[in-house]
Order: sequence, then C-alpha cells, then structure tokens
Amino acid sequence: MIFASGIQAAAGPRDELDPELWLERHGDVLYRYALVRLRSTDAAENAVQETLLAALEARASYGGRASERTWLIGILKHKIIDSYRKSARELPNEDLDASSAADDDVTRFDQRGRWQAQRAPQPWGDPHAAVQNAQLYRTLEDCLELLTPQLARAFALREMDELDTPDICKILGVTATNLGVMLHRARQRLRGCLEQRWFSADRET
Amino acid sequence: MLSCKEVTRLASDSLDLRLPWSRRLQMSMHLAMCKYCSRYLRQIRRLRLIARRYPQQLDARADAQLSSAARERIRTAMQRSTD
Repeated sequence: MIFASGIQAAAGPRDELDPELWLERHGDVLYRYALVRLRSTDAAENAVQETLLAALEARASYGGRASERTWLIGILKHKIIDSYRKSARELPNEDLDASSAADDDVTRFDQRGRWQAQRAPQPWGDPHAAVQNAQLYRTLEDCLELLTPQLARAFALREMDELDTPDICKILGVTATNLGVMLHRARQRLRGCLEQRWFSADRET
Repeated sequence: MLSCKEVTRLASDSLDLRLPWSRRLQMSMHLAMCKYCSRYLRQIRRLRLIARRYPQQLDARADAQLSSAARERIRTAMQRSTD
C-alpha cells in the first residue's frame, strides 16, 4: 500500500494543471516567445491571452507527458501560425532579386563566387560549450530581429517549429523556389550575425 | 566545378530537401576540398540546433515582460471563461 501510494504521489504533479498560476509562472515566458515571433506588443499580448483561454478549454486533453510550460508553448505556436496565415498578405514581399541584395552574396564572395578569405566563416569553437547559455538565445533573438519579417517567419517556421517546406509555403503564401531562397538568405545572415556577436574569438565566455 | 557561392545555396537546400544525387556528388566533391564551405555547412546545422532548443531555453527576459494592464486583462478574461 505504501509503495502504491508513493507511485501515485510521484505521478501526481505531472498530471495536474494549475490554471490560477499559469499567468504568474509562464506569462512572461510566453510573452517573450510571442514577441520574438510576432514583433508587436499588441499581437503578442493577444496571442498569450488566446493561448491561455484555449489551454483552459483543452485542459482535459493534457496528458501530462509534456511539462505544463512545454504544453502551453505548443498551443502558443499554433496561435502564432494562425496569425502568420492571417497576415501573410499584409507583409511586403521579400525582394528575391539576387543582384539587388546588399547581401552576403555580394560582400563575402569574389567575382568567381569563391570565399574572400577575410570574410569567410571563422571557427566557432567547442560545439557543446554554448548551447546552455541563456545569453546565446538572447543573441539569437537580437539577430532574428535584424531579418525582414518574411525571412524571420520562414526561418522560425522551419527551424524552431520544424515544419515541412510545403506547409510553410502555404502559411506564408510563397512558392517552394522562393522559400528556398528565403531560407538560404536567413541562414546566411543569422550565421554571420551569430559569428560576429557570439562566436567571435574575442568574446569572453 | 561549383563555386563556393553555389555550394552555400546547396548546403541550405540540403537541410530542407533531398538533393538529386548528381548535386550531392558535386557538393561533396567541393566540400572535400574547401574548408570554408565545410565550415559553413557545419555552422548552419548548428544554427538549426540552437533554433530548435530556443523554446525550451526561454526564461523571463527583464526587457520583455507583460505589462500589468495586459496581465490584468488576461486574468479577467480567464476568470470570465471559467465562470
């Protein structure tokens, strides 16, 4: 008996949701995430509210497999994707004309398309060292903010949400070819930005 | 022979779709000889890893918090929906 109730107690808290505390425990984190993805305080506040209301309704389906926060962030992701879908037409289209891009393509490569040695990728050091560092993720946020909204959306849908490219094309209303260019450009710029602001050798770790 | 510029584009595509075998062959021949492009591919893969972990690594950021007005609004909406 003691053994059995011990198991129940251990399993208990993971199955319990505590809506009264959601706002206090997770509100700011949900808001931060929404703000990075939506770039507007109004839109981010709305997304947090919609998420918590949807979570209240879906309480019964919470299986306790994910942590409360992971579950809430999962709901928020769907709200963000809905909002991308609704606003896809309002965003200016990405200028995908390669020649007009004041771009990595222009500054990093010579005329024959080879890396210019002093602008080529630099070593980033130990791959395992940095991934736990909160400051790294702030730097990622700062670098994302430098992208156009279209590029940031494409990148986040692909690399944070792990959606397939056909789904992303539908959400953003772009062709597969254009999405390929957008993802390439986003990766180029984010790689360069992280290298400069985070991985450069003279940064103190 | 592909240029580095072309290879960086293929490297990006290789993260999203399965390249035709001829492209894969061209790319791996280039990568075998080019340390900068090899590094580029490793780094955009690492960028992917960092982006995937981002949602789990979040903590409250002091300069991005819900305003007390928004907090109040949300609290009221939640109460209304449970009443």
